[in-house]
Amino acid sequence: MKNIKKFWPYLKGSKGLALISLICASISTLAKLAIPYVAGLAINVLTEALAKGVTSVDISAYLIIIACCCVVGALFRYLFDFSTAVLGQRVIKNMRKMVFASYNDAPISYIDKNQQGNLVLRLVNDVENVQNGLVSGFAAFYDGAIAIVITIIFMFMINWVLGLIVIGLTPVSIFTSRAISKFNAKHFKSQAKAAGEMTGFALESLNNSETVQTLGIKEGREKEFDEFNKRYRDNIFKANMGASTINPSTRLVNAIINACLVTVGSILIIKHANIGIYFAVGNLSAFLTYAANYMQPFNEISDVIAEIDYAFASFHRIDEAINAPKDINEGEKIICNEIDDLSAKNITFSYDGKRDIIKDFSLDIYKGHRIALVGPTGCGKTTLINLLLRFYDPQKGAFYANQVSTQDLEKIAFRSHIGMVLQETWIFDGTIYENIAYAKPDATLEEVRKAAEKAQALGFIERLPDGFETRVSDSSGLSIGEKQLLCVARVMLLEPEIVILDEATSNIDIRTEALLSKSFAALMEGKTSLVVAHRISTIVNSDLIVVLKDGEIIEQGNHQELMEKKGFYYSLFNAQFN
Amino acid sequence: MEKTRSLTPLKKYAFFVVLAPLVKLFEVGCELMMPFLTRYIIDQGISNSDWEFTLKMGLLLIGIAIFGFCMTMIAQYLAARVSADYGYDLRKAIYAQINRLSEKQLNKYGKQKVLTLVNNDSFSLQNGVMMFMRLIVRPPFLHLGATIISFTISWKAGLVFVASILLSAVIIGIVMFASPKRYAAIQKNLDEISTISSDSLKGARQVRAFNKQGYEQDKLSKSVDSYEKKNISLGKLNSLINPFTFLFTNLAILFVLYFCRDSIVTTGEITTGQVVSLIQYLVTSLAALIMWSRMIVSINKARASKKRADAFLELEPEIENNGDLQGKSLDENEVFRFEDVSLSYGDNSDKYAVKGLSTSIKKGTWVGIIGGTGSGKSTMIALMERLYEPTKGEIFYHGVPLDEYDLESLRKEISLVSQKPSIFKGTIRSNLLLVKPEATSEEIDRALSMSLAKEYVEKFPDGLDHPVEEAGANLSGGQKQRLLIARAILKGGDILILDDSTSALDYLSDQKVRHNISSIEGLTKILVSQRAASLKDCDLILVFENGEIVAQGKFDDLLQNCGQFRDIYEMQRAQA
Repeated sequence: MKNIKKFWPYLKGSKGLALISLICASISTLAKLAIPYVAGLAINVLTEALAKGVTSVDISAYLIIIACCCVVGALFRYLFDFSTAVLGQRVIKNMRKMVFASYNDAPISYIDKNQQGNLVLRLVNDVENVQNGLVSGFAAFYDGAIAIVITIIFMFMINWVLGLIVIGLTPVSIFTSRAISKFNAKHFKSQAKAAGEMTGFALESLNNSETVQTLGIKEGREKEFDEFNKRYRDNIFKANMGASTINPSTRLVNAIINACLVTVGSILIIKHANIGIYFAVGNLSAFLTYAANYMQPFNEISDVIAEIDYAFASFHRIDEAINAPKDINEGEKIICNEIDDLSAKNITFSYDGKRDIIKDFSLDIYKGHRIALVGPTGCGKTTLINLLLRFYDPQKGAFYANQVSTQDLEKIAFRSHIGMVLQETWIFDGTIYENIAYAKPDATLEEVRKAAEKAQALGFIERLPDGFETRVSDSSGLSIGEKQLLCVARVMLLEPEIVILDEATSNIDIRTEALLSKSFAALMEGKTSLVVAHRISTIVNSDLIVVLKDGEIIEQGNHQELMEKKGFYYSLFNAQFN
Repeated sequence: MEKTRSLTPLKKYAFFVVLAPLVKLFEVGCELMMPFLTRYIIDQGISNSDWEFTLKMGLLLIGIAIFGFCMTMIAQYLAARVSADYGYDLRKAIYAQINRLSEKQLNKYGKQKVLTLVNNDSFSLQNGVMMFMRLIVRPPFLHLGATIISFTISWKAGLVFVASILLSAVIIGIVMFASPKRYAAIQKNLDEISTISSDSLKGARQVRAFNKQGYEQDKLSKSVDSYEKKNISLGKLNSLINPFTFLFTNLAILFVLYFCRDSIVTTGEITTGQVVSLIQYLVTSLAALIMWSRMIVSINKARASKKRADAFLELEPEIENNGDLQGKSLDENEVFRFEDVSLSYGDNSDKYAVKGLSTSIKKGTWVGIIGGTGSGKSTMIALMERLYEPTKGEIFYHGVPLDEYDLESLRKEISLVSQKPSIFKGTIRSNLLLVKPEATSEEIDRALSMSLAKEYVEKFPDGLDHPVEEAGANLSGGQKQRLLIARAILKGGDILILDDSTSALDYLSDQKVRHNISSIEGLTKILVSQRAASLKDCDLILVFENGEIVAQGKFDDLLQNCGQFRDIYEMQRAQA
């Protein structure tokens, strides 16, 4: 019930449609179930006529009613099926938009904390489950329930003794369908899990096929795969065995109800004069039709219950995503002109609240200066970039732009001063042109071309089959170096005031890197820049080199000063040329 | 040996595949019996007021139902068992094929498609087998039987019966014919939604830094809107089945009543029992029709899957092990000799990945390879591992043509650390033991120390049993590279190839690792690097440019004689 209450708001704007769908289901089911009843009445008339020896009967009234029921039943069934489909699609469309909007509004920490695949799964699969379970499933549930109720009413209208027999056998129906459906739900779940594990393992093998071959570990991997394969086989056998029990069991239960009805019904017809309960052949016929379909709604409902349960689990994940924390934009100030000075004041930061990644970090970044951050992996270089761009906020201290804490600035406005190339290249599914012009969608091809040229990306782009119109994606076969060049071109096009490069050149070979450094220099001229790299070549020309270790500045100065100091930087640098 | 195709594994089970439908025939018989008996109860029991007969028949009905149920369950069991076993065999064959094919072949076929074979196609094939075994007999025989019986009752009733079933079949057929295209479009749209969202999540930082949240939202909304439209169009189509089959079945009841009313009353040709049984046959037949449509859908899916699976299983492995070392004398001194070796990746034979490589690598030496991205360095390594066959020229290994050398020995003798973080899901230990399951803890410790991986492994509270994720996602770049080097050292062999595998290490660590490796006696070391300085002590340096070796020699010679090498070195020098 609590679940339904939670789901209710998502029906906003579709409640009328939902109501229409339920009304259509009711009308169509009523018409459908009236037919056997009326047909039974017609047969009764025929039987009576036969018994009385009358040679001509008129059952046309009954036939007309049946014809009407046919048409009404069919029409409203169509409306029901269709409106349910529309309703489901409408609900999930809005849900998807809300989930995605929530991802866009969420702070980076939320995205970092949750596995990306997991977040995509919510948007794609979980939403689909909601459509199946909560909309179609709920409609089917209602449809089944109303069919059971109407069937029982008709049966009692015809004959209460047989009605009681059917009701008496109902627990058998419920028990059978529930038991099977529970069994199935369990095994389908474990089957899906086994399938997932097996697929994951196969994917890993595929991604590393050369390694598997060169390491000579084929046999071991095959043995491991066999384990997954066996588990999957056993699960799928059980799941299929369970599923294939449904129809035969249904038929068995139906057949037993049918047999009981035929026997008792016939005896009633034979003896009805004696016991005073009216019953005739036509009534029996109607009963048999009801009995033949009696199990159906029970099966549907129990199937649907499993699906609804499943969908609610999905729904909770979606609801959680929609209610993800929002990236609060508490700042209101904006910087209209350029950022003239940028500084860090006593910043202390920790991701988990336990271990400080940055400890009391202060730094002045003068306009137009190139600052290099160096130090061993894990020293906090990347974290500083996260803090500067306000992907995370420090526990103590802050970055200041023009003497204003960046936390008092509007995020969007502040970030528009900065362009960045991150360690992890980012290429989305689209053309080369779209990828470069991402931050400046109105850029002309000429501008994009120029940016690519400056970024040294033009060469390889022109060798691609469709040049700038070539469709690329993260997995489309571009080398890491090429992807990086595109990312650089993207920033190049933007010409931001402040440039941030996070190990941007670490995956590009020395020759390309040297060319890139030239274009970086052009890009950075007159601009403030912050470079994170462990490649000395990109650092030596910096105005200030900041050597970080364990979140603290241990040395700073320019190249010459640091070399003279013969400290950590000195040993780091010398290692390269000896 | 006979070639494995997707249906080959099914041969083992041929007997059961035929048996199941035969068993199923009994059930069909039982099912047809039921309305038949009902009719006798009505026409004889009721007409003669013989309630004992009625009771007996009633018990017989239950008996038949139970017998039919048992028969079906036998068939269902066989179908579930055989299909599961078949699916298992099929996946095993597919996985074995994955390991047989070269990277190039897998890429050409498409790795995503191979993965689909493992999970989807094998599933739809086994499902097809199961549906076939379960349903191939029941619906047609049920229809056939019911049609014959209805004709024996009255030819008019028979015609109504046939018409109703045919019309329903037509509607189901139309929907089945028209929907696959729509389903495919919907799936494609869903993939697009998935791509957009994962792109946008992956680039969460860029999206925020460039202030493009609104743009991303619009992009997704557009895709989501078109997804809705496509689904509604499918819904319109699918919503046709229920109302029309309902309409045809019930109109049939109407017509049966209409045609039979006179026969019952006037001529007595048709009994009321017969009418009741006809109605029952109609209801059963419709249910069977829907079953049939389901079977056709799964068989169609299975056929499409079969095509894909066959295409994959029929691929001949490009690299085959036909090497035999018997009676061949090996050159102990020379490890590799390349004689004018070229390789073109595609079918396009004038585009070369490497061209005219000629060199000789001596045992126990340090060999350096340097050059720009895409200049052919890694291709040369791949050729040494025989991951590709040269298009032109010949490679000799210990004086024997490479393709005549036993492939497994070759790969045992080479330890390669590639650029890719080929780390498998498991633990640090499981990744190391992959290459040498019997390794002692001393050996592991030594490998970890030499690669400097020990520094960080020691810091994990669970040490070697620290879990690692696929592709080492929870390790830093430097940690991954050190683990990979440790694995290569543990593997042993005569040749160690480091393909740019210290790029994420700082200079000091890089130097230390190289120093440690030098201490392994008799080891031939091949080092692909982008740092000229790292190659100072090499006995031989190969300089690559555009797929060719433009110069080879020692460090000092190259500085004097090779412009490209000097450029690289000078550039690094100048910046210092």
